[in-house]
Amino acid sequence: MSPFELLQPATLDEALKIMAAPDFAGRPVSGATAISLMRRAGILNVDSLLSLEGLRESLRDIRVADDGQARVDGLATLGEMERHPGLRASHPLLSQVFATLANPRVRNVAMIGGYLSHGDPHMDLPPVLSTLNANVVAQSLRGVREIAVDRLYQGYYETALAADELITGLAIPRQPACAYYKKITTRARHDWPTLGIAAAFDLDGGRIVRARLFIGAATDRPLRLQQAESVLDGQAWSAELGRRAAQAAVDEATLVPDSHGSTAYKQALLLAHLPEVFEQALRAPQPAARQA
Amino acid sequence: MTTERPPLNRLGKGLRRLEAIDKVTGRVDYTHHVTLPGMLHAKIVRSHVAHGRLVGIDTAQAKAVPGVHGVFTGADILKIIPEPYYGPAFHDQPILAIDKVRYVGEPVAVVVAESPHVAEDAAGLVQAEIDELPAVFDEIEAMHADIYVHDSLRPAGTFADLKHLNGIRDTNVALTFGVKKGNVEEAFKTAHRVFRNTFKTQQVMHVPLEPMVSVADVRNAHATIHTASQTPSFARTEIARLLGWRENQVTVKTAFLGGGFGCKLYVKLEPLAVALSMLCRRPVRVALTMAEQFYTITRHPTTFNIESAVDENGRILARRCEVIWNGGAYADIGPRVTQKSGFTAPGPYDIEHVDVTSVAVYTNRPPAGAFRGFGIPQLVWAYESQADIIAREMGLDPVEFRLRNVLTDGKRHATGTVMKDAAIPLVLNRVAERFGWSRPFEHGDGRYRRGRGIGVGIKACVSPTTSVAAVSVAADGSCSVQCNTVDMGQGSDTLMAMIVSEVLGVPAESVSVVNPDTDASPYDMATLGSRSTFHMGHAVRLAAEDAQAKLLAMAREVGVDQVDPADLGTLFVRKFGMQAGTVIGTGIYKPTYQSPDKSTGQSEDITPNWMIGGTAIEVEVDTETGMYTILRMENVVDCGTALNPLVVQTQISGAAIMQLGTVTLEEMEFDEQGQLRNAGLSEYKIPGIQDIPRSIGRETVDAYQSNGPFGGKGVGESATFGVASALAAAIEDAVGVRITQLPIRPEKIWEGMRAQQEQHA
Repeated sequence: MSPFELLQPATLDEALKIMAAPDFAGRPVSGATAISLMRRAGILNVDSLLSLEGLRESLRDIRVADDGQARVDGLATLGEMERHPGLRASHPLLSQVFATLANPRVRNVAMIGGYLSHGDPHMDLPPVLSTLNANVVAQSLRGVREIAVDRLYQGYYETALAADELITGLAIPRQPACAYYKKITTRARHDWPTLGIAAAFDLDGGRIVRARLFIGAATDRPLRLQQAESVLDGQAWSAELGRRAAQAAVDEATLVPDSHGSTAYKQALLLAHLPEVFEQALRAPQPAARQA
Repeated sequence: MTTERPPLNRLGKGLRRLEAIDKVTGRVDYTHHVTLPGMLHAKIVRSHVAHGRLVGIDTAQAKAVPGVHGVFTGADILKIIPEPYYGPAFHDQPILAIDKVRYVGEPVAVVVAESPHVAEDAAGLVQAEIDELPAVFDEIEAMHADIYVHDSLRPAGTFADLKHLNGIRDTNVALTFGVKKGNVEEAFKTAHRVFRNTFKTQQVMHVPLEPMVSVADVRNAHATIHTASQTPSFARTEIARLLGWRENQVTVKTAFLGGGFGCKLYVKLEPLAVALSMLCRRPVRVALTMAEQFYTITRHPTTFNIESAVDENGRILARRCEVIWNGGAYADIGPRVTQKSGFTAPGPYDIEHVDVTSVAVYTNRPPAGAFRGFGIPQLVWAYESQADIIAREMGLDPVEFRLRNVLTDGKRHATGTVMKDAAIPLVLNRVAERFGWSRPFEHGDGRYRRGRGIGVGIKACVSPTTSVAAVSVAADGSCSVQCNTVDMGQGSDTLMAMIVSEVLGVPAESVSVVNPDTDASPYDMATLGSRSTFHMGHAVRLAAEDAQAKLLAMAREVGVDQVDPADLGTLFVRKFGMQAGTVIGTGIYKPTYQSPDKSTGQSEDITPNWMIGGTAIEVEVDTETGMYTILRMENVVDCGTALNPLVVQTQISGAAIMQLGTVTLEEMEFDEQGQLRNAGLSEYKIPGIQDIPRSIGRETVDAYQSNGPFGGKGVGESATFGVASALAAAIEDAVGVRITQLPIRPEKIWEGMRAQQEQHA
């Protein structure tokens, strides 16, 4: 890896000012787990990195409200989210995802804002947070706005963030009663997924309501499966319903082949595993009702 | 077992590796730590073209980068080394490309700079102009194509049997080796059943976690090379040859290796480091990244056409084997893999009529060479897979079919050598017993189906090779071993210390084993092919016995009746009047050998010993996706006496797991232009802790190698043999899909199941 300039602002305002400068051609980095690999592989050539480490102490808070909504600051590490007792209780789905997301060394340095800015379609949390209806907080000198995670990704490594914007926070609504994420790897277990399936829904008198279903690693960004959702909505779970939903999912989704699997194979994986995701979601740990 | 087995004192009881604590606490010195005053750093510029004429290299921009000391090409190397071609079998590999490039990733230039970062940056500015030529990547195409990777063959002078190949043109075939016995044609004509199958393997890489590194310092007509090498002695010889120097003008020092597995053999970066140090008149360090290793040395992809004639009782009457080894752009040790392993292609079976043709071919891929197993895993994959196919089609139990055909001691191998101390049936039976092969097996009938597979393979120890060792006893009675066996994680230092302990009676923990250094320690052929326990084990034994004899003589001279291992120092004080003097024992070992006949491959004495490994696997397959889980794996080997049982156990599981990676996950993926798509660990996956079977059984059978040191022989590769075919058989047993090309990926199984459904529909 070649030498580079490392800018180390001490405040968010300083960082945003550097990013707003018209001649800034560098990249902000937090944990630098992805950027380091990309630089080493020669995929990313930037001479200047803007370290957000100096801002971390004031931008790493995790708060869970009484109604089960969570807010996470942009520079909290994935490991801090993984171990946060409140978040573990309110969003057990996230605990499940973290267990197989990268490895402890990466989780202990990768920060949620940088992670979500990366835009690799094989990542686990974008489909999961899309399923949970989460928003990111994007901040620049021009102001603050919220972007739904399911609108954040616009293509392969492309996001809706402007060049001067940082993700400074994440807002996650209450987790529905049933939620599950299935990560399917076809090479080594610790590999990127060939397909990721995330589902969340509530039950109303035994019937599935407000189902949200996203897949990752299948196209250039997380993909919502609305036809499958509508097959499920208002229905009581059965194996037959699962099969119909899975078939609807395969029919509506255009899956892109990659080194992990062909389109036909990814369709087979979706068909085989989607019912399992709903069965697991029905059995998964419930989000805890918080003490007032 | 009739052979008398002398009792053992120290050997045969487990000893934790002597360097273990230093390793886990980060205190071991590796070659990567070597820093010399004034040392420069090199970065290799690599060809982006698989085959082409080198028209020109523009180095001006790179030279202008501040901190760059120099940018060099093949033309610069030629100024100091007139014949800059190296290789153990063929002198075909240029230090930097000359006139032609032959694979994507071949070194064409190198930047030397004050820092590795400057060198890397500047390397990106070197422009190589290459006129592209048509390229050939597949081994079968290469046999018949009119695209030639090399204009003419250049065998190394050291191998007399390759001389006739010198200067041969218009071919990609580097070497053809054959074994002929009986009358195969006739046997096929009259056979009850004939089976014809083709099995293929893919290109894989060793992936040592310590990438290759060499540091050279040449001055005053002496070259000192610090290198992560499995062959310090060969490296000295080869560098001396390239420079036209005496061997004593070259010093090669190595250290513990962070894995070798065959990729750090012969010379790799050493010639370049030496040439650069001569050009720059400074020490130069050449260190590869993980990704660059994929462009340096790999394992042969193979195509194995195997035909067997079988009688109605399930006896194999005749076998025809055609094995084509895709050696890539440079031969490296490929011709030796082709020959020394090729002759075992008929398998561990007693077959009257045999015809083996083993062919090494050049292609425009990264070079292939030695890799844990030295070609045997590719061969066993094919012959044991065919054994399963034959057994299935003839309605025979796979174990029973093998036992009907297996070679037993006293019978002649296909090469004519009489089998001895080769516990093939015992290994097979023990694998079967451990697995519970004779018990009813429940395949299941739901979405998940279970299956099982079993197999056994053999390897001949590469021969003839020589090991030399010295055992020194210092004046206080402490002992050290000088030998060039390189400890790359296999625990050889610990074993050599145990052998000294066995002979001299001193505690193994007190014996020092010096790091290989060609100025300090004597010749050894190489640390490869599971040869060190047998060859260096003998040499160290002989050296220790020699030292013991000299100590006894010294004792007699000073009037002492008995030599007390705990008080050897007294002998020195009595003889020299003070704590002074040294006793040096030496040992040389070279086993007997008879070269195979040139036309028939027959030899009465083809190998000093046979290594045996068997594996059984139980697998569970998801019939909807082809995803599978190995529920358990049983591995049994014949390594004679397990001299250090603790290390033997980890060698068995280590070899099996490494092989499992090449069977299930690993594959170098090339595009149509020969560009490698997955150099590096983010896309080239090796097994992690979650990928290994939940249960791995390990066993050494009760066996004794009568010509081995203390009844022992090598074990580093034996558990690689049976893994691939056992897994493929288990998958076929579970879901009826026969895989014939590695690796075994879930998608392939799924495709097979889908094809079956379409047939039935």
